[in-house]
Amino acid sequence: MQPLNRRHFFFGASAGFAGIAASCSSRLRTAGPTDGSLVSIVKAASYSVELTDVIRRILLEHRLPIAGRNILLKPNLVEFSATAPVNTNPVFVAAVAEAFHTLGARHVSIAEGPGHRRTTLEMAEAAGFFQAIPNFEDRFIDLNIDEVRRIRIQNPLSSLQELYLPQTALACDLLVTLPKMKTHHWAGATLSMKNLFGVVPGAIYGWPKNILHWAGIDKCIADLYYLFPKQFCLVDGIEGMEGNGPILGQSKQAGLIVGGAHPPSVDATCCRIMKIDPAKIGYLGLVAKRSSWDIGSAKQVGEPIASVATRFALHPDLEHLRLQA
Amino acid sequence: MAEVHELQQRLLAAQNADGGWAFRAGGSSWTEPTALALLALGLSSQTADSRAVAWLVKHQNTDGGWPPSGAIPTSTWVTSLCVLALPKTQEHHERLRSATGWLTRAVNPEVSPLKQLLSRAGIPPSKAPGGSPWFPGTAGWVIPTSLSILALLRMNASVATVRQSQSYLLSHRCPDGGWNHGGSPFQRESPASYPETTGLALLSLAHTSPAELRPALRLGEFFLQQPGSLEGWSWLRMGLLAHGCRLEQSGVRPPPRSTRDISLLLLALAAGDAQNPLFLTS
Repeated sequence: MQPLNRRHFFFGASAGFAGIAASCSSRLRTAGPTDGSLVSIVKAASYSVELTDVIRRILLEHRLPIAGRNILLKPNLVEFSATAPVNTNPVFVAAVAEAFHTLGARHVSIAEGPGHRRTTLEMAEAAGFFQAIPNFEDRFIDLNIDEVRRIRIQNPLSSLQELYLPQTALACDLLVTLPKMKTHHWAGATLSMKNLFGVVPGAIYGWPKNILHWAGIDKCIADLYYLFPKQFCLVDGIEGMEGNGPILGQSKQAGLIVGGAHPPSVDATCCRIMKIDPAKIGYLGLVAKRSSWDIGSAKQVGEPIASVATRFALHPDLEHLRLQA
Repeated sequence: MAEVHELQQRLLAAQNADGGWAFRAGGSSWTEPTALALLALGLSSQTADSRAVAWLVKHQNTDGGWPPSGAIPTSTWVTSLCVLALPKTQEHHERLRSATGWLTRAVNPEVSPLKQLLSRAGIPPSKAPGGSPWFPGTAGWVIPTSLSILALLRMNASVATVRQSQSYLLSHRCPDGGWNHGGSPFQRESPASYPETTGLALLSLAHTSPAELRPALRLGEFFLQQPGSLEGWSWLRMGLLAHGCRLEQSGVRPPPRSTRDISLLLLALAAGDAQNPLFLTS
């Protein structure tokens, strides 16, 4: 993959791709969070393959309105580590940014608000983001200390009535969530929807954002999903994490990228790939109940689940979440 | 000395027109960077930055606490920083007194035996007694608890409350002897410490027996060689010096990335100075 340059990032890329994108239908413009269940499953054996092309094909498949749009990439940045599969791989993030540029995005920025530590840029540096993405510091917004706006939660599932949320995440045209495919010792799996915990500002709620725990983890995950209807998900399943995730687990090579505009469908698909029963994941059940969404309704394109499914080890206390054959 | 002067000038140049400081250049003023800047600039001056003081005074809530910014009504953990930063003069006596009351009320009280049992069973999260939360109504964590201790000590608050908070810190150490954010060990995890929280916790435990803290002090000295961030380096330096450690090799000092970093660096460079409110307790 070619490294990105500053011009790519700030001014988008070729008019040719922009034209293609502009002619695509406005799926996201009209899609609420309860429809659009197409999910792409694409093999990617490593981070050294031509990821930009792979991701660009996924984006075209979903006919996203990208040309001229402000795109915000939200990776999952958790800890100081360049080797353990705890953070979204920076090469993957760089490839996603490049793909959006080649499809005519006006502006692509990267943002995250880590949950345990406030040394965000230092963690990003240690994880390799500065190396993979030129001028990373100029392109990155720390959501933990961003300007905020008060958002009332309509019909909350959790006990939260409102949240202060970062302007950057609220104002973008498309929030592209880039989680790592990982097991989670509380939620079972941490994927697209759980990744939105990172938009909740630490400067107000702390490190960790403990208010979300007290208000109900699964319910808060579902509430956050409804607050951001313009999303696209690209799950970094090239190297995932199994066992005692999201921090202390082990590497799991799944060799996949999973993408889609409907986060619950993407997450349910990832669960099946990981051989976890999506019907037993609390936050997916809440969305299913709230929106009459059928957990099994996702329409998968690309690789069939059966051909790529790989058993992610679960913490022994969570074996009841295992998908039965 | 030249470095300190240059850092002070950078800090002053970043001050917003309203007297406060932002997290990022061009942003609105927030309480945390404002209180830290006021603390840092006060080290070299007999008079506090009046505009910064006015900003803090203006934003104190009627409950005695401070919100994270003017846009948010709820008083939070930043109250500790304001108590440390405001001049201890007659003019601010009542403000500091009500803020001390807020901090004392924020410390999580003793819990029932049933809740203690659930907490030991690993049902998260627990409101362990003595911990101070980031946000009201939630569990205690290492950073807000440590800062609360420093603020309560400055105000000569209830010894019992301070001891309870220090007990919280001592009971929330990681297996390696230091501190991370303060999560209880969950499902047989063995979490590792962070440099920044280990340094800050050590600073707030300045009166604790060295024997009790020997593993943490050793870990702190190790962390100082590769602190990972300027925040880590700054709190470690302050925490270790508070315990009389000789820092012959201060390790690699990362560069400041923000005004908050500059403030922390100034405070760390003045570790042990009589003017440094963070060290009045040691």
